[in-house]
This record gives sequence, structure tokens and C-alpha cells, in this order.
Amino acid sequence: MTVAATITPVAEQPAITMTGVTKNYGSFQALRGVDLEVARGERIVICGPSGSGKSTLIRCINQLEHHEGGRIVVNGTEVGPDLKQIETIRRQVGMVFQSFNLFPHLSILENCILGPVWVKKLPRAEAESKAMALLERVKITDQAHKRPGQLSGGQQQRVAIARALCMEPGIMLFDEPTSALDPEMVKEVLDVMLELAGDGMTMLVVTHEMGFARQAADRVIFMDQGRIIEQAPPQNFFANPQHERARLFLSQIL
Amino acid sequence: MAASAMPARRRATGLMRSLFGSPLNLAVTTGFALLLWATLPFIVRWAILDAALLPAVPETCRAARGACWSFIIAKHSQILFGIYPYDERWRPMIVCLLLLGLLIHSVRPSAWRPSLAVWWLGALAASWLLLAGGMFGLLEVTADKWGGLPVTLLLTVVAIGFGFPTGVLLALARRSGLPVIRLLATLFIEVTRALPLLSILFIASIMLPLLVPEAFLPDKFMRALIALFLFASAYMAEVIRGGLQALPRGQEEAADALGLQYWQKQRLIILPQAVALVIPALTNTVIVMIKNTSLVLVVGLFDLISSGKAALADPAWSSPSVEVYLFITAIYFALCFGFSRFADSLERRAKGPAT
Amino acid sequence: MTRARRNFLYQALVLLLSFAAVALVGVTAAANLESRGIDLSVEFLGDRAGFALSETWLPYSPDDSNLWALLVGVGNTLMITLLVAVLATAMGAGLGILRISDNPLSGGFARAWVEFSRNTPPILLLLFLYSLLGQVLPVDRAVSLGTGIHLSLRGLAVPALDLGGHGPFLLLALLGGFAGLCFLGRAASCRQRQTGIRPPWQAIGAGVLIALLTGWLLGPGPGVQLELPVANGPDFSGGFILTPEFFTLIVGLSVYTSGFIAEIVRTGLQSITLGQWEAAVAVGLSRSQTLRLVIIPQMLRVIIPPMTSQYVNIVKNSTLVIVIGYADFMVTAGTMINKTSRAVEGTLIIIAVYLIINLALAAVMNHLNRSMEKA
Repeated sequence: MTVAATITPVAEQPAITMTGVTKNYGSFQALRGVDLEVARGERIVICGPSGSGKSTLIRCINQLEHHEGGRIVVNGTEVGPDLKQIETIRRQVGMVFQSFNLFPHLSILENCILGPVWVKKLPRAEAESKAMALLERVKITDQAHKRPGQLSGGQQQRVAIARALCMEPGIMLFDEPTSALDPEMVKEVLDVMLELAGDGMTMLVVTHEMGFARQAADRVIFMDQGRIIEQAPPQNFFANPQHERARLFLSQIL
Repeated sequence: MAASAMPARRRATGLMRSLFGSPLNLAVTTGFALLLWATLPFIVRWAILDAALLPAVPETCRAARGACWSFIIAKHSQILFGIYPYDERWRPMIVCLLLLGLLIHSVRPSAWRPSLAVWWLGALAASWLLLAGGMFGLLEVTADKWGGLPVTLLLTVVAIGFGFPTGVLLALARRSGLPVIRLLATLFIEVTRALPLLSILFIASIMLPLLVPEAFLPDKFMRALIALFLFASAYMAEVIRGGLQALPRGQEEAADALGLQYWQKQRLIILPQAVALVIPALTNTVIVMIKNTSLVLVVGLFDLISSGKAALADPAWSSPSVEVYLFITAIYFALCFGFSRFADSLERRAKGPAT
Repeated sequence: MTRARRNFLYQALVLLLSFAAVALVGVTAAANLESRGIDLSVEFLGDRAGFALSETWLPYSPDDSNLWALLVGVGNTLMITLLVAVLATAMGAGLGILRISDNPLSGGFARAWVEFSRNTPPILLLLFLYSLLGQVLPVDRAVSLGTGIHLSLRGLAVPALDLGGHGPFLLLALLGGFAGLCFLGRAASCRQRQTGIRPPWQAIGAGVLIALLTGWLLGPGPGVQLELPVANGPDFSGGFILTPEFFTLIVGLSVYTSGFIAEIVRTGLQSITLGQWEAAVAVGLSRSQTLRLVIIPQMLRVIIPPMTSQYVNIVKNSTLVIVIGYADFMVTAGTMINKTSRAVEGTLIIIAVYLIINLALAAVMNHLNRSMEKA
């Protein structure tokens, strides 16, 4: 009995643990000691003024930026300079960028199967059928053979989400996914993200879309100048921000 | 589109206005008219009216006061193909068409598949076979008899064929995060680009005998080829580096986020896009290399120009060098201009339907 | 394995391979040199050259040292580069402007010139011009192109300035005058910044300088003589003679390079949007002020980098003169290497010289670029 009690079941291991993470760009301190724990299936919205380190934070998780101090552990694997570790992490973590970053010289379908075929070594036919299923999920199957340049911004971002999902990640990172979209296209992307959240995906979303935060987030994190200033469930955060800077920020965007 | 939609009369008046409309235009038009009036009769008389054509023998030229085109007609084979046996001329002709076709085919992004490398090697092997002969019932022709246009094209194709992949590696090395590799690549590229091609040819010719053991010493042809290859790789490296720099960083980040390894990332995502971005500059490099091969005449190889000079040495004729050089200029012009126009139209057609 | 360790391994491998290659080459070279009884040193530079150079502007004779021969060669190359650069820039600028004119004759002419430069090997152009001169010019006499200018198979003869030994003094005076004018210009700009009015110091200074010069030229005393060449058959006596080789090279390379410069100038002109002109007019600047303060600085910023590479190309194309028989640096070095069998040292010298010229050009252009940025 006691032995079983000391083993933490995998399902309860936190998805991401960050302790004392720091990152500098020359003399500029982007992250000044961030502590964060993300549970499996938790949906987190990160917000804050520009330069607060929100993007840097999530980019450290899949090592698009290398953190200098502190520890980051993703799904039990420590994220560090070890190449094998980085490879493992990137298979488990999907990312959606502000500027979509679809590969313009490949078709939509080819964009989606690239990862599964070349990284996970899946047979092409299997990858294609999985990709079509995901494209259906984001409601874009009829464009599968077009090039990204022929799609609208909203469509491209939905494809980008599908592309990330094709790798079957446990964690999805969103770096301001709707900031580069025309207003009428923001909703279609947010709908996809809401659906994803409803299915229980662990999500970290850097965004200014507070409507999404209210609807889907379990926790809202406010960052400023490289530190987490405040974190609370959305209803608490929006109704009653504790810190001065959080209050100022909310008053500016709401 | 707008021009053709305009009625012809309006286009004519537009032309008239640009020729005579303002005082400046009037002055310019008058100036050119005077220039043409002064030079055109002379040129027409020399090149056409008084020119010697047929029969293609020296007497026709001596009798005529104008251009000696009979020489070109009589000697065009020697100028184009060097001292290659007359009856076997069809072989270098095929080689020229083959190599030209290869160059044109390779400029289009739709052709960039691993199979392209096979095409290149195949074309080179076929060219070598056709020129050298000795098997499949072809008469053997030793390399010292090769000359003219096939040599020019062969040098260009080999220099570019090996220079391009090397240039890609050099460009990647120059952008690498590893300081040693970056330094070596930068050093090689900058030094090679700073030196005149002639000096590289010269250095290859005199240094290789000293630096390489007797047994491995490449012959004159090889040495020139090595020099041209090194030169081409440095220039292509810079062109490709421009493309790599122009590519948005997000592409690399997206590839990284998916978990692609370095060489997978380069092969599948980065390089196809980077190279496609710089196709005009690459076409330009091909043209520059075609022109640069003309320098091998200085190291004693028989390209198009030296074949022309050799043809001029025939004592039976009056050495009409102007006519010969005009002929050779026309060939180079047709080659380079045609190639760049063709590449342009291909690129325009490729971009068309995608929008 | 961490990223850092892998990077280290890659670099160590590359270094190892490079050293191995250099060592292999070095050992083979040493063995080859030894078997032929050649050793490496620089003493040969002091030895008597013993070979003639077809024409030089610096004094040279076969009794001079190898080092001096090389320097004379460099001097030849630099002289060619300078002359071609000036000519080609002037012609190219004109062509570039013609290129964007709406007159189809001038535009077409410029376009044809540019395409000609692009699609012809420069070596061919030089050979063609040289043979053209040889065929067109009469064998037994000189053609007169004006007072004191004669063209024959011996070369182009122009009037020579006989400064009667006052050459250096005149040069110094001109340089000093020019420097003085620059200084006056700076001072005038300074005063303009303070008071808003530009004092006419520069104009006055220029006037004084010109008056002095004219007085010295026309007044009593030796002054300056113009020596007109006289033609005896195809030969000349007196005057300043440019050999056909030199003439061909300068004209040929200038024509060739001007095609490329025309395109650069055209790009520069077209990069200035119409909006710039309109904005300047709206502020109230005159046409010449707009040109000087708004248009030309922006244009120069766009033009300077590609111009730099064109000037570097001139240096490189100057080596083509070998096919005509002129002695540029490459030819000189080559002759020296042949005579002294100093292949390795000679090669290193060739590489070093062209690298230095290249770096110097790049440095000058970078400086120009930066001063444009500040302006």
C-alpha cells in the first residue's frame, strides 16, 4: 500500500514545470525567474504588455529559445541542451505561430504530413489519412491540395493548428495566434481553439483575446517585465485584479 | 494588357509624342537620326552590299571590298567545333543541344527533384561519350581535337554542376553557428571572389604541379575545370546566401517546432524556398560562367574564341578578324540572351497561375 | 550528447581535416620543391628583373629590381582601373538616364548597350576592338581627328603639356587651392547654420584661384607650353602617345562596364519615388536644392554597394589585357615567376596584392556609405 502511494500516477504528473527560469538577451532580462506548473489538461492564457516575456516563456518550452537559468521539465523530461531531449520534447509539444509559418512551396496536405512522415517515420498513406481527418476537424478539407498563398489568413491559421495536431502532441502552445488576422477571421480560429480546449488538450495561449480566456481558460497568468505578477481563474482575474499593474493593463485593453 | 487594349491610332500618337513632343525629345531624335544617317550607309555597304559571300573561297574575299562573310561560311565548322573531324560534326552538335537543354531545364523549380542530379550526370556522361567516342561504333577522337562551342558548354556545365552543390554547402557553412566552419567558409568565399578569374586559372596551372604528386597531376583541361569550379562555387554561395537571408525566420522556427533535424529542415523547407527566391540571380550566374569560360583561351584550351583565332591563322585567307569576332559575338549573344529570356518566361509562367 | 558537445566535435573534425589537408599539401610541395632544388625566400625580390615591360607610366628598366617591377605592374593596373572607372561612371550615368527616358530611340539605344554588355564576354570585346583598330587604320599614315590629335597604328597622340619643370609646384598649388576651397565651404556651411545665410566665401575663393591660374598661364614667364604631336607617316614626334593596346583597353573596358553602371544608375533613379519630389516641392525647396539634399543622397545610398562591386570587377577585368599584350600586374607577376621560378612566393604575392586592392576599395566605399548614412 505504502509503495503504491509513493508512485505518482502518470496522469497526475504535471505537464510542464518551470522553476526559476531566466533568460537574457544581452543586457535585457526577458525572464527574471519564472515559476510555473501546468497540470495535464489545463488551459492557460498568458497576457501582459509587450516585452513582458510571454512569448519568450512559451518559446523556452520547446527550446526555440534557450533558457539560461532554472529548470524546465516537460512530461517528465528535463528540457536542456541535450539534443535527444529536445527532439523528444518537440514531438510532444505543438506550436502555432502568430504569422502562421506555413510552408508556401508545399500544399496544405503536404504541410500537414511533413512532420509525421519525416520525424515520426509514419508511412505516407497513414499520415495522409490522419491529416485529412484533422483537416476535417478544422473544417478545411476542400483546400487540402491548394497552396497556403491561396488561402485567407484565418484559413491558414486553422491549417497551422491542424499541422501541429498531426504530430499528436500532448501540449499545444499558441503564440498570439489571432494577432495577425483581420477581425472577421479571428472568430473562426478561436472556435477551433475552443473546440480543442473542450477536448481536454493541455494549452498555453499567449493572447489578448480576453473573450477566449473567459470561455475556455482554467487560469489566466499576467506577466510584466519578465515575471509572473498574478495568476488566477479568469472570473477572479477579470473581476478583481489584485496588482496595480494588472489593473492598469486590464483597463487599457477592456 | 493595357497597351494592346489601346486602339492602334492612340499608340501611334503616343509614339509620335515621345519622339517629337518636347524640345528635348526632338533634339534627341534629331541627334540619333543624324547618327544613323552618318553611319548606316557605311555599315550597310560594308556588311551587305559589298560583302563577299559565295563561292566560299579566298578569291571572293580578295575581290570584294566589303565584309568577308565567305570566310565564315567556309570556316564556320572549324570556329564552332574546332579541329574535330568534319564527318563527325554531328556529335559535338548533339552535345551542344544536350547541354543547353540541360541548363534550361534546370532553372525551373519544378525540376528540382533528386532525379535532377541523375539527369546532370547522365548528360555529362553522354556528352563525354559522344565527344570521345571509341565505343558503340563511334570513331575515337582524342581530347586535343575537341574545341569550340562544345568545350565552352562542357566547361560551363561541369563548373556549375559541381559548383552549385558546393555553393549550397558553403552558404550554409557561412551562416553556421559554429565559428570554425563559418570562418573557413567566409575566408574561402571572400578570397575567391576578390581574385580575378584569370589569376585563379593561372594559380591552378602553376601551383597544382607543385602541390600534387606527379601521379595525380590533372591535365590542362582538368586544371582549368578545377579553377572554374572553385570560382563558380564561391559566387553561387553568395547568391544562395542572399536567398537564405531573405527567407523569413519563421519558416525555420516552424520546422524546428515540428521536430525536423538540421539536414531534413534544410532539404525539405529552407533550401527549396531560398533557391527559388534567387532564380534570377542564379540565371545570371549561369550567364556569367558561360562568358567566363572564354578566359581559358589564355591557358591554351580551345574554347569558342580560340577556335576562332586558330581559324584566322589559315594563310590562304586574308585574316578577316572583325568578321570572325562579330560572328562569335553573335553566338555568345544568342546563347546568353536567349537563355536569360527563356528563364524569365519560365519564371513568369510558373508564378502566373498560383495567384 | 548536448548541443555544445556536438558543435565542438564538428568543429574539431573540420579543423583536423583542414590541418591534414594543409599538411599533406605542404609535405608534397616541400618534396617537389626540394627535388627541383627550389627553396622559399624573399631575397629574389631584390634581384635584377631582367625582363622588359611593354609600357609603364612609372619609370622602369630591366635593370630595376623584381620588387620594383611588381610595383610598376601594380601601378599599371591601378592607372587602368582609375581611368576606366572615371570614364565608365560618366558614360554609365548618362546611359542610365537615357535608359529611363521616354524617347524610344534613346531608350532603345541605352537598352541595346546594356544588353550588349551583359551578353558579351569582355575578352571578346577587347579582341574585337583591337583587331578593328588594326584593320581600319591605314598602315602608312596617321588619321587626324582634330588639331593636335592623331590616330595611327602606333597609337593615339594628343597634345602634351610641357610644364617646364614646374609640374610638382603646380600640382601642389592646385591641391592646396582645392583644400582651401573645401575648408571655405565648411566654414560657409557653419556660418549658414548659425545665421541662416550662406556667405559667398567659396565663390570668391574659386574666383581668386582661377584668376591666379590664368594670370600665371598667360602672363610673362615660362608658363605652360602645349606640345603638339607631328605625324611622320604612322610615327609621331612630340606630344603624348597612348599605345593602341592601352587605348583599346581603356575604351573597351569603359564601354563594357558602363553598361552595368547604367543599370545601377537606373535602379537608383527609379528607387526614388515620386513622393519624395512632391514632398520636397511642398516644403519649398528649389529643384537644385531638392536634388542636392533629398534625391542624390538617397540615390547614392542605394547605388554605392553595387558600384563597389563594379569597380572591383574593373580591377579583375583589367587582367584580360594579357590577350592584347599590355603589362598589367598579372602579366608582370607571371613574367617574373617564369623568369625566377618562384612559383609559390609569386602566387602568394599575386593573391596578397589583389586582396589588398579589394579590401582598400571596399574600405573606401564603406566610408562613403557611412558618410551617406550620417548625412
